[in-house]
Amino acid sequence: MKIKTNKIIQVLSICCLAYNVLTYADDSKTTISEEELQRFTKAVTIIKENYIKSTSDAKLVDDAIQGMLTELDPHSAYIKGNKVKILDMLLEHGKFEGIGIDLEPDGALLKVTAVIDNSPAKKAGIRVGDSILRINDKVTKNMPPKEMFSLLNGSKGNKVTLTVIQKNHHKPRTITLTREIIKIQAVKWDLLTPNYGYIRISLFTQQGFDDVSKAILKLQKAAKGNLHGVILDLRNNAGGLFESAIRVTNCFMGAEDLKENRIIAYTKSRDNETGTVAKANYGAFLPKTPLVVLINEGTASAAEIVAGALQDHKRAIIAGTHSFGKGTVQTPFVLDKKSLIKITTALYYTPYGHSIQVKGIIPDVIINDFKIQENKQAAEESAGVENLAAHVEQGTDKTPQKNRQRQEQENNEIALAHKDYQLYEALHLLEGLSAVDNAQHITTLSVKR
Amino acid sequence: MGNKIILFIVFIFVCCIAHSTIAIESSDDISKTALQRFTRAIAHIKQDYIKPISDKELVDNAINGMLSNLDPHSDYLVGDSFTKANALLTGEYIGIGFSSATINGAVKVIAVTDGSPADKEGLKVGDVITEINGKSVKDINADKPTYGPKGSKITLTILHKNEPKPVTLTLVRDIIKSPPVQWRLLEPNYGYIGIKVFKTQTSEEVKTAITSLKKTNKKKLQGVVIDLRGNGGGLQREAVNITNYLLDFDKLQKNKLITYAKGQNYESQSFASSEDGSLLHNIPIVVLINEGSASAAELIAGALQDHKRAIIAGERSLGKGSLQVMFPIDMDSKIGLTTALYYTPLGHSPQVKGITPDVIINNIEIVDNNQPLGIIGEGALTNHIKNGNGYNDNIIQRIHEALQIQKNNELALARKDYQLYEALHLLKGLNAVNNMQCMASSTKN
Repeated sequence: MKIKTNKIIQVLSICCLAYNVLTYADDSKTTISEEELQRFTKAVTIIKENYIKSTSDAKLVDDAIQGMLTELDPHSAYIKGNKVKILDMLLEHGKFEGIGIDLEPDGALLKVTAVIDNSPAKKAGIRVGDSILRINDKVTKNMPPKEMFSLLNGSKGNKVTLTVIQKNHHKPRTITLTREIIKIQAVKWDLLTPNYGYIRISLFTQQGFDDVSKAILKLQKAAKGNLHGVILDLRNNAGGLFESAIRVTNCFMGAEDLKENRIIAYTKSRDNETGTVAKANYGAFLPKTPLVVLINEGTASAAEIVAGALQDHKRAIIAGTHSFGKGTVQTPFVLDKKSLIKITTALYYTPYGHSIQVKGIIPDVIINDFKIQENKQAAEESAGVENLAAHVEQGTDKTPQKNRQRQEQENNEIALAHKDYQLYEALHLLEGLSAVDNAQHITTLSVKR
Repeated sequence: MGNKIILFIVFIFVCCIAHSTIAIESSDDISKTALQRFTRAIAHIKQDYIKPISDKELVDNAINGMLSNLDPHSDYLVGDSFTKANALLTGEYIGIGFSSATINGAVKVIAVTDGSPADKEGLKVGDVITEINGKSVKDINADKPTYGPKGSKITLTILHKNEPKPVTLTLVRDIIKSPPVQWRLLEPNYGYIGIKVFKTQTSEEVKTAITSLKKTNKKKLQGVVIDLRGNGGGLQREAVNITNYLLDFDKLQKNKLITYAKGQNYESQSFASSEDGSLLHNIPIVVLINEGSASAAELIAGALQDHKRAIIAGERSLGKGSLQVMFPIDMDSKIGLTTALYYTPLGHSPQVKGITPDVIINNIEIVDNNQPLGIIGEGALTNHIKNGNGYNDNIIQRIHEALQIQKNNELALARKDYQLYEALHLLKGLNAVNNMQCMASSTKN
């Protein structure tokens, strides 16, 4: 059974390659054989006449279409009723009320395939790959998508109780979450240290390109023109709009930088026919600055396209854990006013022809997500040093202040290591890259001389 | 979809209503707009899906989609599941010899066939299956991979009851012969009849089993345990016949119902009859059920309980109170459709609720106590006074030895099947009470 819950993800995972080409099928060329159609109508008639309670044609046909699509692959789906409107609404507004997870059926269990940043689910520690056994004490097996959708999403403030099976836990955990209005702040940026920037993209939305280009300019300004490197964080980015992902990639490598092969991604449909070829057509905002891209098992679809392109063109070092592996293209087709199907029509390929499907993007540098054990003694000691430094400071001149700055930076780094080990490691990687980069500069300079 | 013994049996529950005369209806019976939606979807998939797909596959999946969204027991049988379902009904199959059901989201073993690979490797009722061949078990349908060629291997990861860590078992598929009816004397005067499933000949076999038990025991039987644990159901007609054999027709009150059923377009009633009935007249019965007892098995337990004919012991049953009828679509496919709910003679619906035992007996594991039991009694003391009835020590020793053998036998049974051991005790208790009543009435006379 195909079940999609989280509205936003649902909407955006329809990579909108063909969003503009929603068309009605030409009824004149109904391509099903008379014999098979008869088998179907016979089944419908038997059910209507004999089932324990009365059923409607509409329900039976809906279940039939859903049955066909579910068996195709995990991303082909039948979307019914108001969800069609939600699709448009969400692309425009980018907010919803709920707990912020995307679920997909995996046999009887529902698997978490995405967790939205800052959502109640994320805060409660729900992770991609967890299985949901029950929602509000209702077993999720065979739960109609509509019911599940309304249990998870809706008015803020209401509580949702999930029974979750997590990796490395044999016993299910029960978690109670409060629904919130979740605004998708798809792009965030910050300086990690005075010369190193951080850009987090949680979803490729319509505004993705604007937001990222602005973030780059602001980072450069904040670093006072001395931006030595940037970390592009695509962890748990479930994808989004294909077009947006292409433009964002273009921000980091421009047409002039790539020369012959300007491809960012391309698709192949049935019979190996090449479909869309997306290229870097514009100049870049940040073409040279060292770049580390962080990915993990929640990085999917459009986000994998970005990572794959930057990796193939050797524009960035990809770090983290290998990505989700959703390399299929879904195209929506409208059936009537209230329903559409999206079916898998093509596969994505990276510039050098690697299919993302199943395999995912393999990081150049694998950084696992560790939790660092708090070292109490060390913390106390450093506090002691700080006190001492404060004492000494009174009697001396500028040197201690420098010490203090260094100390602060060290403390910040330790805090970062505790908070986000992968990011901490990525920062080190970036610092290393930047050092090599400088060394090369020096060599080229000296060679020129 | 589900083609494991239990599941599939479950929907063959009432399969024998002839439906060969269903006309092929014209598509006018389905609303135009709905049908158009369907054909449009097919057109798009055929044209643009990433790989080509046949009409048959699409329509099979469509019919399957309709049925699996109705209820857990309505099902579409086609291809493999069709042939396997038929093969299972006729008897032997190749597999590992267990059946399971999804209970509270966990796939639990509800029956293990004696002597099967599953039995030999120590799979037990109540075990939770977490993985098959390294893949997490998604559904009762995960049972599908248990079928395969003889001699091939399958790996199960299971959680034994009360054990925190899962263990991995590797099993070799073999021919599973699971006779639907098994009988034996548990000990002199006490019979056992186990019924695994209700197939076309099952009621006849039960009849034979009862006759054989009577013959083997020579004296009058003092009690029979009817074991319906792990019985996932089957043909309703067979269950009704068996109930009729077990009921004491003469002792029935006004209500002679065995069961009745009601649905949108389905109604039926089954009554007890005096001819060809009451094979265990005046003999106490204990019926054993557990969470694997479903459908037709619940029908029997419910009827015998309502008529106070038997004591129902064990654990609450599964709660599958619906009837399925088989409708052929064409030569190679059929629909098992839920058409009605059935009720016990007093109008209880077992649906979801299940049958609650009169006496709850949990499936307890008896841990072996290796301490040798040195008999220390009066007889071991030097210079003891002799028995007052004149038994000499040799005779008393023989009596004690016989008791010890019985004790050992009972202990062995308790270790092997605690619920059955307890059921036997219940029967003995019932008999003791009956005898007292007899004595009381005879004194009055």
